[in-house]
Amino acid sequence: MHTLRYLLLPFLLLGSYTVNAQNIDSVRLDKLYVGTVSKILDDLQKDTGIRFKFDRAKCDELVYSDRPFNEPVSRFLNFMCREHKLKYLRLDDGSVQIMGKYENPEVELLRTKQRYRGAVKHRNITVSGTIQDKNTGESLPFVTVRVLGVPLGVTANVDGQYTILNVPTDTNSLIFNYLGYEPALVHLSPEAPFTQLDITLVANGTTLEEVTVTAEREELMRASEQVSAFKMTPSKLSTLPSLGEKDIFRSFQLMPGISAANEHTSGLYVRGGTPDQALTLFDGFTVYNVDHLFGFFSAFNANSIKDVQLYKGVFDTKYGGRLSSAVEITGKDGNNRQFNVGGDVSLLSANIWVEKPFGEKVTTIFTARRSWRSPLYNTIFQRFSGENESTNNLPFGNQNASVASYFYDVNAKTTWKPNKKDVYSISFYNGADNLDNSIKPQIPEGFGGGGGGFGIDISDITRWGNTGASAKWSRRWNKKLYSNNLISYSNYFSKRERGVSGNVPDGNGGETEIRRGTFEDNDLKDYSAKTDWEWQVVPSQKLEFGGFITKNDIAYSYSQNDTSSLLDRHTDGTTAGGYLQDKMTYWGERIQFTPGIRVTWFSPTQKTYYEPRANLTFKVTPKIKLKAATGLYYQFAKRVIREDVLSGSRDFWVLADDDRLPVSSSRQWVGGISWENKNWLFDAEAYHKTLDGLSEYSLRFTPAMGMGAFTYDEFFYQGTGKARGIDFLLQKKYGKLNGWLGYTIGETRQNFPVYGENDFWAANDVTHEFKAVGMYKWRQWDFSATWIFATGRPYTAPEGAYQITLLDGETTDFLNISAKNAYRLPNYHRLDVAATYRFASDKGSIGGSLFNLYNRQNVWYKNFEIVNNTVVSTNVNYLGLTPNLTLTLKLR
Amino acid sequence: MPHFSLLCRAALLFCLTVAAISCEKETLNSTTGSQLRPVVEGYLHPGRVATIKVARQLLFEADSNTNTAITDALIWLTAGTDTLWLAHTSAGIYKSTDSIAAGTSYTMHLLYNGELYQAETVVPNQPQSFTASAEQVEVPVFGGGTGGPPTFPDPIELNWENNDGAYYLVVVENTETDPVALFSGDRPAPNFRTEPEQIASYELGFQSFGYYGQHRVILFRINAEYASLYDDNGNSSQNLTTPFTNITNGGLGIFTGIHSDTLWVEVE
Repeated sequence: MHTLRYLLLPFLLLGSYTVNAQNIDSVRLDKLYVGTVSKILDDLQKDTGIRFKFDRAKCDELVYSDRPFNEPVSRFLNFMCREHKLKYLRLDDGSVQIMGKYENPEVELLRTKQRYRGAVKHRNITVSGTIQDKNTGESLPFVTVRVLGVPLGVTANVDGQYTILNVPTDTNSLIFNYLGYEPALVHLSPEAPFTQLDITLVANGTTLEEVTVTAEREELMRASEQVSAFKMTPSKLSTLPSLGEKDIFRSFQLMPGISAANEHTSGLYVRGGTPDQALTLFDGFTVYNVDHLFGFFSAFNANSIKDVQLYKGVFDTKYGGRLSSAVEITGKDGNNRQFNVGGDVSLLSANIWVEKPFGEKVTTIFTARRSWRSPLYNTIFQRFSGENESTNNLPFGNQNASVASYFYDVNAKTTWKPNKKDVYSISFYNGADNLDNSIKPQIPEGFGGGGGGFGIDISDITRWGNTGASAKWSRRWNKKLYSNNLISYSNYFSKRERGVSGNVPDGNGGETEIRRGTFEDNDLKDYSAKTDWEWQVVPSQKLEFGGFITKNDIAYSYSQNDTSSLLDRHTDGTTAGGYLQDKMTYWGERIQFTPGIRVTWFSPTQKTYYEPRANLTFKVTPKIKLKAATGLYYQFAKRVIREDVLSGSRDFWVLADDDRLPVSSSRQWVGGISWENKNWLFDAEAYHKTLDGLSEYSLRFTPAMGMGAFTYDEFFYQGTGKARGIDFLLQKKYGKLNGWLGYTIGETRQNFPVYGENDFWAANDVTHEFKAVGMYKWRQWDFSATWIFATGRPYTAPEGAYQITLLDGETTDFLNISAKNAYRLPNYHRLDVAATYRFASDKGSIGGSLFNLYNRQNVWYKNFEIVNNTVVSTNVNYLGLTPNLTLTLKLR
Repeated sequence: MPHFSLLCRAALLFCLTVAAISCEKETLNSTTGSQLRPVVEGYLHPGRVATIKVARQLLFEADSNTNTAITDALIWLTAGTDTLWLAHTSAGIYKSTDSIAAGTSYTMHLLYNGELYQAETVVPNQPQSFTASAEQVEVPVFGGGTGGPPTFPDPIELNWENNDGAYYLVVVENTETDPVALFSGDRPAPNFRTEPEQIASYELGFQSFGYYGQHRVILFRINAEYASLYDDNGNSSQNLTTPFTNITNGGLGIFTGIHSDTLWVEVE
């Protein structure tokens, strides 16, 4: 009966607006109307006396002309609205409201109306609906919805659907909050369509900003309500200083607890964790490497991203398979109103996006970008590839270096919403880097057997990339139950080849093939399926549960020269399991307690792993919140560092086997406090993390004699780790000047018995890290500056030499390497500034930024070369002062 | 007001945690600790006093001091309940007063710069039944006018017992004061050695020798830790290997027991 009433309600409501509708049907027009829609409506009001309500800023942009011949106003309005995707409503007071075709009339009216003052008709009602962007129709995920004056609130799901159970009365008010959007206040009334209360939110900085109540700017980043969680608005990223591309991962590195002193990777070093310990999900599929151009940029095109959530640790049981942190990226669905196209051009790359709806139920978006070899690109490429260092001195012939280097990525997504309950989407991503610095010599005619009879190629190739795809079906079964089912595929490959290959004469008239150098090949495949369910049992309890299965197929080979294959692993394995989490609130939502467990079975070890986790927040007062969380985490596919003291360590992915490569685990504890008022947020979180089953690969320890024959598989070493510290954040959230200060004091230590009995500082250990981020808005300008300071990272170095006299009287020289990570690089610091001018039409912007303004020579790593049994060390530096320009344009 | 005090308490908790992190005793690897690591060269011969040489490494970074001897270390050996103290004699060489016994396990303790470094070894028993198939080897005459090819003498076969798979090393030393080279040209080194191997015999052909005259053939019974020193340390532009050591706590070098037997061979 209730359901029937809700279903009929919109029709009943619509009916109520048709009362007293004689005016626009009876009054007739007979003259030419031309100009903007605003002007025409003003003229109509003057000619007929009918009052029109409309969004003047929007209607000023629409132009129309018509010459009615004794036709009713309603017919004239029908034609005008059809042409401009508008609609009109006849209001009770005889006036006419003009609005966008897709805007929900009831909600728009509720929003503008004063709070309902009449009697309450319904109690304990359920309110539900969807939340969309007003301009593009994109569903907005994870919007928080609260009932004003009542401790009741929910977070919308990834499809922008929300349900609040037990709203006390039909006269309460709801407030919708989403990062980067103006908050929306909606007053309920007995006539409101409670089960289809579809809301549209207005993005900050759009033309409609002027008519909204608050002209203040929403922040770029929000420390979320959950422990150790952050949200970020992709649309706001362009105001931050950037080097070529606005970058979601680079921006996350400005948060406390996430290391920013790593220009060589976009990956996240979170609270002593490494990038491989951070789970990165893009539209549900796992991305195993997030780097473009040696890590200077992340693999994700910000134009294709709608929402990003970051968990610095103690993440929900829904996420697993990683030790440290989790990032969930939701791609855009595309504009469901109209075709749109836009793009950016910077000194590094060109970027284009296209959005097109098909009918009212299908949306598509396509984004692509590709680097171009600008001076900026060349600067970065040469610095990071060591192009100048490559060996290219062949003893004969001319040499042509055929340098080819670029990166690209494409995203495509199609979403079909056949009804209010179901959402189907297919998302695809492909991106790769190709850095080829090879040399093909031209052998002179007559040399070595007749010119071209043989040749030697010097190869210097680095290629890596990701391909990912997912197909998702989510369904809102009823107001309490929601499910999300997904199948996905992900592939990561990395090839590194530095060497000499070719044919040389063998002296007997024949040829011998040679192949010298180092060759690495890593290929990882991930086939996954998962199902996630949310069941809002009662307003104070939400159960989240699901299942997952992943098959990993990982191959890695590493060889030196043509004969010695040092490592050749090809393993596959399946992880399968389920999780359950119970979000409970007590004491009027002041306490939120979320216990949960994740259970995983891993085929290579034939073992089951249990990961209990719990999360507690306590609102001491509306402004002060205490929080605590703990959890156990396992990782099965992991990245192993291949130690290389001389020229910098590299890494590769492998699957744990519980033999040489144990399943890694971490246990985390987090405790914190936050204080927040309208403008300011202070947040402090202390963390402690223990890590077990860490792996590293090193060739610098040969087994002692008497240990029998060895294989190169033996050079995997196992160790443990500890990380602890405190993150502080002070944020000014709103106002023309906003931003934050972040500071982390921390330590990360490891213990690998092979490197000695003592603990040593992990390679990513940073004692002090300070960040200041400031943004200032002045008219059409956005100014921003970021300053970063971080303690230098530890490194291992060849340290000295010594002699031992052997039994036969000979002396032998030994070159000694320092204790593991005994040295530290100089402190890292850097100031970046940027200015962006937004065109008044809101159809683009132009921005300039200066990276490393005071040209600090920050050291990336030390390069060592052994020359005549001594060691020559050189600093390989990060980028100095680097300017950039970015032009952004869009059709609408 | 209660909220304020709660906030204060929480702030205090954080301050204490920060203090705890800051004040903890530093036990991690550091540059100073790394550079000060001693290099030990200790061979224990049974029947002789213990002799251990201690030096520091020569640093790559701005190390103008080439005198690397460490003269202020404290060194002692323990064998069961016995303790042998070593005293510094000269140039970083430390000696005991008592002699080393075969078949005994020794632990070296070296206290230097506040750090204790240790190493263990067993002094092996003397090689058993060390024999040579001949005491002379005659170098054939090339181009002596006989017309036919020279006759090559049988190599000298060295034999000994090795029932437990121990490592052996043979060192051959020419003991002549002014030795005459077998062949004209570059003068080879007067001594040569074999690779450490788990063997019980070795053939010495005349080609192995560089000089005429008396040669001392020493058969060393060695431990696996010493054999590891002979591994190719493989330092190249692609790899850097950490040298083998059996000294704990980051010390460098070798501490090992050896035992030898000697034969004499003459090259004619």
